[in-house]
Amino acid sequence: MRIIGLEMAKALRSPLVAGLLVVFTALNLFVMYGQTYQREELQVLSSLVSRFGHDMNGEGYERLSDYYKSELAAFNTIAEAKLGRTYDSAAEFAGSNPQLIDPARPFTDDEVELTQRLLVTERYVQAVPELREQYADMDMWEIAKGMLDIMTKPTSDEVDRIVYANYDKLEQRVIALREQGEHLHLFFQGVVHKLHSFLYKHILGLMLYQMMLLSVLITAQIMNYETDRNTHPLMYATRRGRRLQRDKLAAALLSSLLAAVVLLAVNLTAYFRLFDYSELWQVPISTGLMREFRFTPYIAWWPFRFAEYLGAVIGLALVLQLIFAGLAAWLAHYVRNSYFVCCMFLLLLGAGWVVITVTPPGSLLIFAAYANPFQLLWVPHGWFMMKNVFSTYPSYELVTVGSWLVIVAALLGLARRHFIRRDLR
Amino acid sequence: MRVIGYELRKLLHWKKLLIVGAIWLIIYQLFMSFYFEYFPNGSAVYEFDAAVEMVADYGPKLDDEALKQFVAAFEARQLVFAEQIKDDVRFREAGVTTYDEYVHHDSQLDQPSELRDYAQHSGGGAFRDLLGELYAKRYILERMESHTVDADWVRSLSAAQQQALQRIIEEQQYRTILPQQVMYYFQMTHKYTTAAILIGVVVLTLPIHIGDRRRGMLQVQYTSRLGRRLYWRKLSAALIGTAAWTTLALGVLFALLAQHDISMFMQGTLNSAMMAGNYWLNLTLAQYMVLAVGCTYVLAFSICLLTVWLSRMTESYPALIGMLVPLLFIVLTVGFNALLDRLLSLYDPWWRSGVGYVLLSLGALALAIGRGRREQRLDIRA
Repeated sequence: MRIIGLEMAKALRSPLVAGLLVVFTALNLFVMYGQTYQREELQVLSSLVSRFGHDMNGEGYERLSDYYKSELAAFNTIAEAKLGRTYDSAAEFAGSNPQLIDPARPFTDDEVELTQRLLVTERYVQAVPELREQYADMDMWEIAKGMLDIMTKPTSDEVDRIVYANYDKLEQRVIALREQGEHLHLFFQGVVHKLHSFLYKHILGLMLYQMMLLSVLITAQIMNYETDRNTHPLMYATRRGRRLQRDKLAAALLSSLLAAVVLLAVNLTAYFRLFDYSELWQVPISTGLMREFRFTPYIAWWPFRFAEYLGAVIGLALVLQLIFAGLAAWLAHYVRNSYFVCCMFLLLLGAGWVVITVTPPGSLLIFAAYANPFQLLWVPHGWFMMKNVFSTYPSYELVTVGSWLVIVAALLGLARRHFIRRDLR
Repeated sequence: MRVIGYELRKLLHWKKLLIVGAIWLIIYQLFMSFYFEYFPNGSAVYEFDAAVEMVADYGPKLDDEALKQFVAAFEARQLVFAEQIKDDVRFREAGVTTYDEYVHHDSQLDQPSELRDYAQHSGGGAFRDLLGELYAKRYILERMESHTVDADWVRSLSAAQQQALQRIIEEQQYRTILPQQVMYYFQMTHKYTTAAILIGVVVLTLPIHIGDRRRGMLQVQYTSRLGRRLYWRKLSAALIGTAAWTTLALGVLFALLAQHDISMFMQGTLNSAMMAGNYWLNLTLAQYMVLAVGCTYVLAFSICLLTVWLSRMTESYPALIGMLVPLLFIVLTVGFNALLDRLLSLYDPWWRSGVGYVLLSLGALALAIGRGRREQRLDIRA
């Protein structure tokens, strides 16, 4: 145990890890600040949820629309007094009057605020019935067919059959979702704020690459520490001898995880302090309000709540770090130079991306091609959800991560055998 | 000279060249192959064909006389269409007898009439191709005729920008023929090639000093006859290697670009009405290509100098790579957006991309040269 700690210190006490953590956090904060202009509007929803709850399936929606009607009436009395007419909706008013932003407007600041709040409330009140209708019509088979039709290279019947079977399963999930009313929960409106893809794709997606770089560098540094400094013959001659490599591996995996946890903890804390999700932790992740584009709803395979989903995504991200660190450690067994380790890892990353473009979509291999850890990096906002035709099945993430953990373990086993018997040079 | 040769041999070691070549292939497959495979892309093929025809008929720039001829030819093609649909029942039922009537026969953009559907799909595409051609020409003509500077958005621009726009109108710079997608074809493939070049430069030059240092060679080198001047030899080797690699990659790019003939647009200029944006300089496509190639060299040499400098400053590979990856990330995202995508764009200040290149290259040069001078006076342990 003490040895593992000492090995970890070799990487973690170098200024590199601390420096990168600072640089990455600064970069992420910069990206996050780009969206803070939305905060006021987000606050309106939070206050709505705290008053009426986020479940819009029954009573909640009635209370929300009652509230909306009373606010609209309040607005109309103001409009009647100031403009001499009333409006059917706040949107109608905003569409025909630029007066809200005009400095010479006839309204007081309080009235402007009321109108702006009303505009936001109205969007949510109108969205719910629309979503109910759209989700009632949603046909997963159509979506699968549409996606298969626009592919530039044709798929074979065999592949199509599997895809349709998977989307049938998805259809079952959608039916259950509709019965539970999971789609009618208030959340920051996706079509306007796009916060799901912002958090998971832009922030967490960026952090996935940062964590990957950290784990590769840390692993390369720990595994090649002795050969970099020409102390490896000394290490071979000690009592522990080459078994030290096992401790080094454990140290590399643990330090990669540790660096990733620190990065995630700091940045996600910052994110949730900047954007207030306090009322929304219990909202189902598959809610229709999360949806950002008409034909790509976010439908999770399991009825996750927001907090549970975040936990699952973080868990998967950490397991990915283990795989990346393991691959780097495997390379480091054969390539003694950490520069070449990084180059080879870069090529592995590229190969993991390219493999789907060179696999013919007619063969069943296409499913295997998609099931590699580097593909997961593209769609962190779609983990555990419906996504590409070839990666939409409930066990996709688990199969990918599970099989690659096994592959990495096997590779490391082979590398160890090779290393133990290697000539002194 | 011999030392430079030895350094070059290390710099362009075959293993490293294999890695760099593989990175190039991956970038090609992921980001570039699309532009070569699908050109002209989709319905833009009609615009491309119309532009080719215009260059053949009127030369690279339309004067007033040529524009009149173009309008006349366009009207003649409309008559051909009218002739074609004369006997067609569906068109007669809809009351459409001319091209103009067809364009305006329904006003609902989101709900096209059944006639449109019919025209697109019936008769083996007989109508579709002619309609595509007519739509493309109508679009070109609209862009050429409606070039004005008194739109609302123009007023929010600076005085210099407004003057530049005024000049574009007065000198009829917009009358040249350069379809936007031809520009994209070059711009996008050039951008990704540059990305591959920069990554390659970093991979090739990264071990230049650090490798020696790791093997404890510094003391030996310092006491050799060449001594500390080795720094300059290494620097020249790195620059020569960078030049060779950049030239090779750009050569491959131009060989690939030759798959599709765009030579007729070489005289078309950036401010053509068929382009989406406006530019400070009204370069021809050929001039723009030369400029872009120059930009690639400046970027490649700057990144090379920075890498050499960092390689001399750091002690371990992980630390060096940890610095270079974020640096490359920033250059490839923010840097490319300002320095390549929006090069000369009229909607940015005119000096922006220029200052960006000057700052980057002079900064890198100052760091590398400054280090070389310090090298002479350095304590032997450092």
